[in-house]
Amino acid sequence: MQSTKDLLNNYDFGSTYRVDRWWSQPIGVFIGLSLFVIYGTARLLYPIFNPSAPGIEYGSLLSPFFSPLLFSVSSESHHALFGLFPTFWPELLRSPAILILWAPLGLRLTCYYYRKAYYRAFLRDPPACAVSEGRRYKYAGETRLFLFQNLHRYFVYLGIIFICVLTFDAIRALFWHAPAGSPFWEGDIELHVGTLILGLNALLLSGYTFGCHSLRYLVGGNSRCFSCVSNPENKGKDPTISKRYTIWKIVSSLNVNHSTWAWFSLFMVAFTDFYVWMVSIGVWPDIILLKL
Amino acid sequence: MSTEINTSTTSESSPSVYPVNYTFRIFRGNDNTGEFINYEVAVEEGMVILDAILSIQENQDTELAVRWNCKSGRCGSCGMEINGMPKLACMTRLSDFDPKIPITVTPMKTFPVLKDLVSDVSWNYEVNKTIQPFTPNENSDFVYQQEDIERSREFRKCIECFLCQDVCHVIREHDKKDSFGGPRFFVRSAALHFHPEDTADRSEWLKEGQGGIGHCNITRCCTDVCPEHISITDNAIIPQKEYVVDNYYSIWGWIKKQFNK
Repeated sequence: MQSTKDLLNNYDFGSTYRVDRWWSQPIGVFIGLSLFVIYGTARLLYPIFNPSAPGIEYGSLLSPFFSPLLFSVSSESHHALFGLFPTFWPELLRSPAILILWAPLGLRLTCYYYRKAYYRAFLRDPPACAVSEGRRYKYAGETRLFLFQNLHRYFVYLGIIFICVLTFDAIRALFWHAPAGSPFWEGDIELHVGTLILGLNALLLSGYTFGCHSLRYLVGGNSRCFSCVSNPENKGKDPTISKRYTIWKIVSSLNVNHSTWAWFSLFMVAFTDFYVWMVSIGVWPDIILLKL
Repeated sequence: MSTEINTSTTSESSPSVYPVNYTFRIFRGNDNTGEFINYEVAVEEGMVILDAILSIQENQDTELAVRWNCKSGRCGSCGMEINGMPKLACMTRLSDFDPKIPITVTPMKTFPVLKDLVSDVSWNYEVNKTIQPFTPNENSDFVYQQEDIERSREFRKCIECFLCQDVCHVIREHDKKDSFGGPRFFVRSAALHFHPEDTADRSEWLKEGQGGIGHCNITRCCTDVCPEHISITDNAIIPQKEYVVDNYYSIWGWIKKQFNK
């Protein structure tokens, strides 16, 4: 006979009686998220060290990593809202992504799906269901250090603004060769491969953002009564609730596959940036599919 | 998104000719000492883990303790850990396991072991008592509508098997039994909170009280093991975490509170 504690409650890291490949998912998530962080950091720093060819924009295409483009590092920018970086701005911080990327990163960092993903893959808390994490510290969950996760709903509001900006970018990518000084819609209408990529990126990011758990709560999930208008006997409790129920159902339908939207949109935003970067430095052409 | 966890070795290697001999490595003992004992069982087609355990109890070892009742996934009594994952023994088919690899069966390790495969789950009933019960509007003429039924019906499917409590690492690994309610009771408080006629505010229970929902870090194992396929994380825990944000961390909530003072 052995101690039951040793037999059942062995809390060494990875201790489990599971016989399946429980480690494959956390390892996959670890690799996927790490690659994104490495690529994102490299692209964030790239314009600082290559101000002459920052790979941010090409014609009407603007990389989503740098959109909205507040300040540009190049005087040839078509998208910069306020021209070049002001002269007082430190040279080592002259990447347009620094100004805006914190918002979408904050949205993903505090996202209810990504929390699961990185708690498991990076913090092994736990590494997988019914797999011991190895007791290393006094567990506080999301009550102390991780209390910031409660900011998620505010990042969602910002995320929706970004969806509007990226949708605008995709529409703008339909108009090319506008004369200098005139608005973009006076250009020729052309459908490029880059236009489709920007459009698909905006679509996938919309699916991710509009399926958010916090948004689902805010648009209707916080109501205790969905039927108070549709049922005449319960009239007058909340006249907006039937509309909110419909919106809640729509958000819920996206929310069911939130993790899928999260991964596809993450891959797409990196690929869109890579595409614009490669086109802008001439590695491959941006093929025109249709001219009107 | 809920994902089923397959803890069987492989379903492709399930046998085509019956009976087939399976080896069961079963925990025998109590909360202090124990051991694993191997049993061979000739398995017929369609048998579940509980059938095999009852066969061992009847033919090989009459002292083997196991808790069971309905044998149809309705009573939630036969929760145990099969190859390391919390499952209902009566709903786990043997054809999903490779007969060449022994099947390890242990009690739900989050709770004290009474004997062999039986755990003492009484802590859960103590937690249940700390939740404010249904508190309806007085003088209400409310008629329950389909939209509202759909929402809380999911929570009422819970059979109290406590597999979610067993797998939750906050209880299992960090032993926060004094300050954390666990997924089962977030399901119960959600069933109450999202009833159209309930008026109680359980945010204090959720944040400061036995609920301790802040300890939950959304790793979704509760949803993965639920035999009733309740979306515990998405539909019960996260909305109540947001409810706590409303009451404690929201700017609008704070402003509202100042006006209500």
